[in-house]
Amino acid sequence: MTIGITHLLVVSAALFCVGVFGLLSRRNAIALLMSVELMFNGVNVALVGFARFGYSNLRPLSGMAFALFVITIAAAEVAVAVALLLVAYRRHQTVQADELDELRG
Amino acid sequence: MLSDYAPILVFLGICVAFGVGVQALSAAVGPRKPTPEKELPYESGIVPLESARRRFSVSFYVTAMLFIIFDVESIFLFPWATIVRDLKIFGLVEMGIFIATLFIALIYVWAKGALRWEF
Amino acid sequence: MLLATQNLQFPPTRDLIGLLPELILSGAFVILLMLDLVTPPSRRSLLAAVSLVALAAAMGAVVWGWFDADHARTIYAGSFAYDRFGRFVDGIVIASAALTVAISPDYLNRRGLHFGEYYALILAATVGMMLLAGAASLIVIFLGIELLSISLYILSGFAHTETRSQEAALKYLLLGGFASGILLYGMALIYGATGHTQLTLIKQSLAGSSGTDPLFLVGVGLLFVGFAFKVSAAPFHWWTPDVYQGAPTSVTTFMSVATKVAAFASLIRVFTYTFADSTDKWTGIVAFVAIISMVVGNVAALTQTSLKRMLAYSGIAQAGYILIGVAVSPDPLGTVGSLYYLAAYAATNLGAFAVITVLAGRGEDLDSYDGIRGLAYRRPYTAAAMAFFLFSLGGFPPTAGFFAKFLVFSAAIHAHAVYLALWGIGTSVISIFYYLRVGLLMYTRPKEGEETYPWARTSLAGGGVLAASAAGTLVLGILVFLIYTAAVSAQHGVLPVPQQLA
Repeated sequence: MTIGITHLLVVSAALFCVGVFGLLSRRNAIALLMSVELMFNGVNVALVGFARFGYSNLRPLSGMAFALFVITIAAAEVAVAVALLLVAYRRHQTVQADELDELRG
Repeated sequence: MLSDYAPILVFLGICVAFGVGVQALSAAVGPRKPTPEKELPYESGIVPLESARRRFSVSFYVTAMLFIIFDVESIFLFPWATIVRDLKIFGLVEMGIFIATLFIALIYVWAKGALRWEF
Repeated sequence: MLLATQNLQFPPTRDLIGLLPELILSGAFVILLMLDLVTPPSRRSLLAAVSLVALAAAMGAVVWGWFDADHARTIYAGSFAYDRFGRFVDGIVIASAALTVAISPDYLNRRGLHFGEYYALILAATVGMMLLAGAASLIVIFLGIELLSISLYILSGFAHTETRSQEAALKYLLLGGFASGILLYGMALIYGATGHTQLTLIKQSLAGSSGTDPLFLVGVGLLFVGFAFKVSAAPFHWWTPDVYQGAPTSVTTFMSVATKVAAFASLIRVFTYTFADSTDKWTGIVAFVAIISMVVGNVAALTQTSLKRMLAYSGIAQAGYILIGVAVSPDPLGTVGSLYYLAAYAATNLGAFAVITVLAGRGEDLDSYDGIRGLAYRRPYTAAAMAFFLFSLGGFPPTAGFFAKFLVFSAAIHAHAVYLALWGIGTSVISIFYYLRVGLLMYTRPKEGEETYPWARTSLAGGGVLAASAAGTLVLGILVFLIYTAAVSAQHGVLPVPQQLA
């Protein structure tokens, strides 16, 4: 069996779905953050997979460059998220997302 | 054409259905009888020695955060390095601006005191 | 490798000129960060002045670009569009940013939040929005969205001592990251289906196919969901009221207006123009989301007792009206209507939020309906301005809101989508109730001895911003042709034909 685009797309979809599942089911803000990262990395697998195994008229460099940008942006987002979590933790001593529920209506 | 991707779509569908389904099912029919043992974190069947929620110094997070940012930004250097000769002066100036921006960010972080270990 | 490096020349003058406004603001961002380190806390209004100068310079570059860009073209190998459409949106975004910066120092001082990073972050978000407005490549769209989102995540949590603000920021970040992930997956699938990330090339590649590739269709669906989240259209709107309420009001002012404008610009560029050959595949979904947004936004706004939440739901409803212009594509009238609506929405909504910002006192943010009771007897001019903005949001003539709705609905009728116009008119009638309710509260005489909210004194800058927004709302309502002609001109050549691309 040779590895082709289908296999990579299944891996990518699996990662993405694990991320979505985590976002829907977890309550710890750090876990939610990790789920978002999983989604982003699922996308990366798809991008690089297309770049490597896609159609003949596809531009491989675009996909790879896209993946690089996704990696850097994801890092920036995590940094901001961790900073926000630190501030929230100092005030509330918790990172459970459902304990932050002042905004309702 | 269509048949190539059908498995993925089916898989995506199953994923979503499974995720939502399990959540809904466990919320609907799952009994909730918490016992002290059940509330313990799972550590390969061993009774945990101490709480995993030990406090780490905040400095670790801040330093790790800064490290990740500067580390990851440097991946732009790799694709650039493969064609730096073809890019000639253009590439050099562009990358110079990029590095300068990162350097300014470092100065900012430094001056704000985020690099100090003690708070 | 496959890169045509021989096309690169130094300096890349043509490309740099196209990005001039963005470059000015990015430079100002760096300067502001450095200035912040040496500015004593009491002199931080200076930073606001610096940002205003930078925004004015960028605005100058945008206006110049408007006349220079009458021949739309793409720069940076097809990644960025240098055209009037982008300049039109840039103009709205920069004006919103400038007005927000002008009211900020007073508000931030009263709330004890006056930090230099605020202005740098506003400029960063502005750059992100302008990139998004001009983006002609999936990569740049993603970069623009993330630049603006990450800046706004921090700004939402800017009140670092308030639980609400922290909560809003975290919620925004997690849900925003979720939406970005969905958007990205859509982009990856579209890249896989068409082989390109540049919109012009995607369009070319689609022209040769039937547009029924499942990979492509799923990608389009996911992309739309991602965009719908960013423009806060129902049913992807849950984050909006919470974030708008929790964020400091000056941030809400900026974010409610500018984000929506920029995200809609990109939505129009991608859907109406890039996917123009397969409109029958997706206009149904857009129309559906438009109707849901109009209904959910307006009905939910009826029951609110918080000014910010009411305006948030009203913004969701407005997103529905703007989406009508997208749902009737490829009719160009739809784009014109949407552009006009965006300009009108920006002037009006900015004004309404600016009123709340300007009035907010030292303690809690001005937010509950009770806080505005009897305003007209203490602050007659401010109350009149607020009433005027509410009239415009409700769509009464001779305000901007009336003509915006008129243009969008007539585009729907022109495109034989009468049902969209009917839904729009029906829900507009509902909206009158909650706008009037707030209006009437302001003109309710407070009882003897009853305490009113300690409204802040309106400063010169605050009054100026309110006057400017009111003037914008009035000009858009009376001198309709001014902006209408601009919108028609902007609508030409939204997606330039590709030059011989490398």
